[in-house]
Amino acid sequence: MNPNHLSHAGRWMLSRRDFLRWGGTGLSGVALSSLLANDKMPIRPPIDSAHPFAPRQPHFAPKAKRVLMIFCSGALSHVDTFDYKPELVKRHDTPMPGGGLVTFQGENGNLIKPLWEFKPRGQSGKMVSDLLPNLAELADEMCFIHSMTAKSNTHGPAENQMSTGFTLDGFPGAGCWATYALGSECADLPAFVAIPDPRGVPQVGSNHWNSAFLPAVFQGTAFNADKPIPHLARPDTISAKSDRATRDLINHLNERHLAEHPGDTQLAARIASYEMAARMQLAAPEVSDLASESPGTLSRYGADDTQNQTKAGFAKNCILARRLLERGVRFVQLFNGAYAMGEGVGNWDGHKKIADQYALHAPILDQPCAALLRDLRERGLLDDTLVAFVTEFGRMPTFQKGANGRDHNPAGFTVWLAGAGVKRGHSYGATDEFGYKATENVATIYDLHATILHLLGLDHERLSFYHNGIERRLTDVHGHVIHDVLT
Amino acid sequence: MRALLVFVIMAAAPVRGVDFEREIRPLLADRCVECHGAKKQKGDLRLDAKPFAFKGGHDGAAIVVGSAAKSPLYQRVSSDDEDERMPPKGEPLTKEQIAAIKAWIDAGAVWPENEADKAAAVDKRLQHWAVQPVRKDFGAADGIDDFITAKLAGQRLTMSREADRRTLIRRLHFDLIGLPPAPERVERFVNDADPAAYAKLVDELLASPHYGERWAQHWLDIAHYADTHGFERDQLRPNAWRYRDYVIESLNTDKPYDRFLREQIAGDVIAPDDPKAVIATGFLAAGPWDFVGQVETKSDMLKRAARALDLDDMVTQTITAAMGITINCARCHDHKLDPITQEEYYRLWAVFAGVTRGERDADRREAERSAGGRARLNKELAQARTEIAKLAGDGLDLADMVGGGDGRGTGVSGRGIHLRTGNLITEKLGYHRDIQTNRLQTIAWPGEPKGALRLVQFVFVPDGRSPVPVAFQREVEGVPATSGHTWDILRNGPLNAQRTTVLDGTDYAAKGHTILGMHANSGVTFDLARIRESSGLTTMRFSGVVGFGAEPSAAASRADFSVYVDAGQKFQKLKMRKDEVASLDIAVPADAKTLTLIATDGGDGIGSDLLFLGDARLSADVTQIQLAAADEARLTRLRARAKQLERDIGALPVVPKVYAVVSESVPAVVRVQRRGNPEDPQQEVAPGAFAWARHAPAALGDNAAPEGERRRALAEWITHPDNPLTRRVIVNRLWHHHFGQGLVNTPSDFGLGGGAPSHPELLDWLAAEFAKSGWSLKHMHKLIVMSAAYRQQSATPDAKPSNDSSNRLLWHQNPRRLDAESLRDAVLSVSGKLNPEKGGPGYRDFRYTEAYAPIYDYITVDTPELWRRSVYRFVVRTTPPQFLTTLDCPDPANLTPARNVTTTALQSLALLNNEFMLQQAGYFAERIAGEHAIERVFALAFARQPTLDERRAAEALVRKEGLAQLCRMIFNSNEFIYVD
Repeated sequence: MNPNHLSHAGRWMLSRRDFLRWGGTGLSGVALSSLLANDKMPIRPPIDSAHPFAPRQPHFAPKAKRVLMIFCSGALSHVDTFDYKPELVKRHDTPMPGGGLVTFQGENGNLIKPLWEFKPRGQSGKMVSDLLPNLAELADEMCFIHSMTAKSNTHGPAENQMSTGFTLDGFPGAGCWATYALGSECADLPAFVAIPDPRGVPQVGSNHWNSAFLPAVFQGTAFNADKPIPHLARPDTISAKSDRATRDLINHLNERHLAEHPGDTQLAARIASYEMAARMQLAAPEVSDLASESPGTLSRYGADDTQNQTKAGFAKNCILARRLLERGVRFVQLFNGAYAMGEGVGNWDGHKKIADQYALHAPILDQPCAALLRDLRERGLLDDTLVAFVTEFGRMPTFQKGANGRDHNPAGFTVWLAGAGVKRGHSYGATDEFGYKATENVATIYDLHATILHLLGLDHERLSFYHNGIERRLTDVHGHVIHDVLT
Repeated sequence: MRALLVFVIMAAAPVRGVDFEREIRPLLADRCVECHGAKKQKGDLRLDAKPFAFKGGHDGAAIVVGSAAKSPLYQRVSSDDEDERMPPKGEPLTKEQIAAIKAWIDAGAVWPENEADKAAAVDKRLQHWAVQPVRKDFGAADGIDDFITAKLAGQRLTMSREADRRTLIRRLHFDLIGLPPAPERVERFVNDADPAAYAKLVDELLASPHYGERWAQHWLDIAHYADTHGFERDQLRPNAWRYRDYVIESLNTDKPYDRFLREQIAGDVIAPDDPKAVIATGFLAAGPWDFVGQVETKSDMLKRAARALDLDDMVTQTITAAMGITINCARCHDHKLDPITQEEYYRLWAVFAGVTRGERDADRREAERSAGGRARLNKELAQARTEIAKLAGDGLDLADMVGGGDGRGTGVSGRGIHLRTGNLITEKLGYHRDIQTNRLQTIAWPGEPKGALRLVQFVFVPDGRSPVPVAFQREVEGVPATSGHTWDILRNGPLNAQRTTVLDGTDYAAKGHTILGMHANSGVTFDLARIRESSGLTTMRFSGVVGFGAEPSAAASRADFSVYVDAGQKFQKLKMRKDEVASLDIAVPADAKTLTLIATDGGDGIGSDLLFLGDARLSADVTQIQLAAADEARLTRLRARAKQLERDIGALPVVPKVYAVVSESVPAVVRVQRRGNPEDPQQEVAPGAFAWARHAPAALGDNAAPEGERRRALAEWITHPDNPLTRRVIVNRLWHHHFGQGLVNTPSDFGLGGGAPSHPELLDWLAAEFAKSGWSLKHMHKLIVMSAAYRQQSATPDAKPSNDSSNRLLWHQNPRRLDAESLRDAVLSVSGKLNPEKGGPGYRDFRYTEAYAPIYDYITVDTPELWRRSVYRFVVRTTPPQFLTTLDCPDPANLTPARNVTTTALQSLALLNNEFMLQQAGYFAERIAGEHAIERVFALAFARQPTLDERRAAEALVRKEGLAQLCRMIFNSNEFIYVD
């Protein structure tokens, strides 16, 4: 009885009986070694239907136990933040050689120097601009990948790709894959939490955390410091006593029904899910309640900023992210920027007046995000938490013709990693002299995902789910672990 | 001859004889086959059997017969470069071994065939069970139970006993119609002494119109149907529902399945005059469509990429749904598992190369009739207007004034007014938002000579949520509320992105006509005092036509148009459709100060609201013109006639549209795309299918074949009586839904990667029976649900047989959880609130906000129009309703042959606390309040009476917490959510 064969035939979960017979608490040593012996065979994690979030063994020893992905929606300009190009300053307001490019919104004008000054930071002397001064101070913690490339120059498909590996809709988010593979270390909270920006959701919304063809149990649960988990709270119209009595009776009836179907794992799993729901009703409000945070903490994050409500809101989300990671949530995706307000208004999509727009957005991101990174470091969480700071693509080194902003640029952009298993104060890959195209150690989003999974102890070529005749992977049929960024 | 022979011998002379079996075969096996054999095929090369070795690998031939020097095999084993040299692991080959290989190749690489070589030459994939002809001989077995019992007996198992009648009626109801049985029907069935009671019930349910509603959902899952495009600009498809209704109706009338398939693939070709057959092609259009990539982008490369996705989706959906083969693996390379080549995949593209998705007339003849009638009326109307203009004079043109002119042609064509600045500008603008609404913008006339006429006074973005100012100290009422957004500006000519300049058959871009572009939301006020001053006119009439300049295939949209003279509303057309045109003929008194035109968005956002006015003119009123009495009478008559004609045109029936296939007359040539890259086209291919299924020739015509004929040919190929897959796939899908798992448990993958059938003979017997019945689905349903196998109880004894714990052999029925839609429908049915209305546009349980990426906000379903069956939901592709998603309602980006069944805490919380569930629990309580409430609860929800113990517990809960809590509890119980 090999569960691999079972799920290959369309079953994603084992019955409890099969599960126990086969391995007990995940991949048993013997089974794992027999699987790993064949280095091409897909690995579909054996999942106990009654405990789908039970922790499962990775494929090999992991460096990171959990992931925090910070997603800057709208495409954060790399040439104005982390990718220093002196040539751009020299050739300011001159045509780009070989230019005349037509990009997403049309023709491009001249090269434009970074709108914020770059300075050397920390011991590494990494050049980072003044746009994000607090994050800049943490340059020594960061491992930059300057040679990222995306497949689409349109926000929707590119957001899809950064979170799900595919430009199309309908693929599971990276957090779904991580929890499908590894379960969770926290029994009372969702294994994968998406924290939308206080201003709303990114362009493709729930695609970032949808389970798509993976079982819905691995879908990310979206909530933030302002908006709790849907339907978590007992409705006001029902008293606690009444709720308890009702749920006792549900249990009673369900137990009776189960007695007529002895050993039915699905029915047993439903009973267990009500118990889990009850635990979550206690644990989730606790994790979202920031009252136990000291005034010093609130102020370091900027959560007490009365002048800038959006910044305070994002700061609270950052604290929430830390609290979730502390409690063992496997994957947290923290969003900065939202789309409902339109191009560039609530996000990093600076086409027309990038100087004005970024001057508004940067303070919202900078202090809270930097405080989060520091806090994780001080609490020792960076030792086994991987932080990935990403955006869907970069921006052009030129301004758009007739505008004061930069158009989309999927040919080269920057993301950074920090924490468990990655080099500190390191830069990998490079774009050309203007920051237009990745030229050195060109990296794809597949590579980035392969690297993230690798740090979690997962072989991206083997972690798979059988769907409509295809062994689906986060990295499709591509991707190479970027070994140069690993410690 | 002799000379040649001598030459060969001479050339071969230095070559030493090599014994392949002794020297080469063992060497290959020992040093090469580990990486180039059955387990691994590095570089796609195998050296373990003759046919593979000579086929070569990724880089071409490995062995060039007669020339070791040219053979990569020899080059690699003899290389000095360590990175090049084979084998990469272990010691290099010895000099003697290398020499042997050289000698062997030079001597002609003679490889005597042994058994393994012969076996390798046979493609085993062609022997795969699913592509073998459907069996015809089944020995003594006749009927489902014979096959099931025989298999069970092989494992010393037997069927479970038949379930009781209460369980059976509940099971049958959910399986066949997706709704719980009424308590009265349960009692009638339980007490029916007729031995045929069960069969009668089956017939009754199969005849119920709810049957089609239930089973359509399964088919729509496979078609990944939705009512919006998907992708980031997820726009509405308001006419997609006709296809959904077609599926329901086809199932209800038990349309033969082969015809059902043929219509969905080529109904518009097979029966172009049958609206139902045309609507059927909504199947091909059901999947996602990328508006940005197809229409909006300026990049041809992105357009090609979007089109590639489009064709891949159609091909994949058609072949997967009908034949259960996952063809799309072959988009980038030959299929890894199944013997389907990349070229075959692109031949299927060629079948659909002339197909796009879009709105079309469902009824061609009615559309033609209607268009003919419309054209006649329009012609007459145009004539009347020309006559009127002749008599009354051409008047002053408002578009010309917007272009800065005097109304007599001095304005600049194409020029417009910026709504935010009031500047006259020539460049085209796009999307504006964050504009202050209801703010009057005076017109700046930079660069205009002093004394320019300045006949346009104000522009503004209207929003009727507050009074709309049209001039200083003049506000008007009755303007609709708007999104406050707009696009481009007012123009003397077509707007930016305007697609058509024709209204009702008249092209207003033609000579003698004018266009005043006015995108919603916009307003413009003309200064009548100055107009009178400059023109000498006094009492005037304002005339013209207004309609959409949007592409007919663009998303459906509505808009409003209003005209005010001073503060008085003189004309208003609300929620005008894209295909409607309104005529204006408005009296403008001699003392009126302003004329204001307002275009608003119809409440559905500004998408496609490219309104424009044709021949918007102010002309002298008839009473002000010195006309002969006869002419005056004629003018009055003509005006009356024009009005009547406008009314007649307005009263013409709306011809139904459907979102389905749109044929292009000349299909594009399809080429194989290397590695699936549209930018790397290779050889041209002709329409065709794949040769693996050998029932009929795979060629489906050449590239001269008209678009429709290609699809007709594919439809015939798929529904060919001898197609080994089509019948097996559909009977297995039915089986899957009746038992919770199919005989093949990968219902959309019958290829080599899919599951093997648990009962291959039974599958074929069903397929054969299906053909005999004339491809009747209802016949198959009846066969299945009448079987003893189906009627078994699902409850099982504690000691499960270890040799079939997953119940593949069916020693009991499987308990099944209700899918998301059935659960919602069951709740509504039990609470008494289910709205039985059938068909028509889907209910929209969301608020829609226009934006670059439209926003769908779900609302609580608490009105009767939203209490319809879930199959009538307006399905938003990118933004699913969280409640249904939590219950495993699939993402319509994907083809879904089988629903996932997951059990999560969030699901429990949703069922416990979701507003819809609480409200329905309340209605359920209201419904059963009174005597025997608890019995009614159990009867409605579980089709049974409570036990003594349950009654006591329920009474205690009701006493303390009320009936609604009992009902809430029932909705959360396993017995309600599962079908036994």
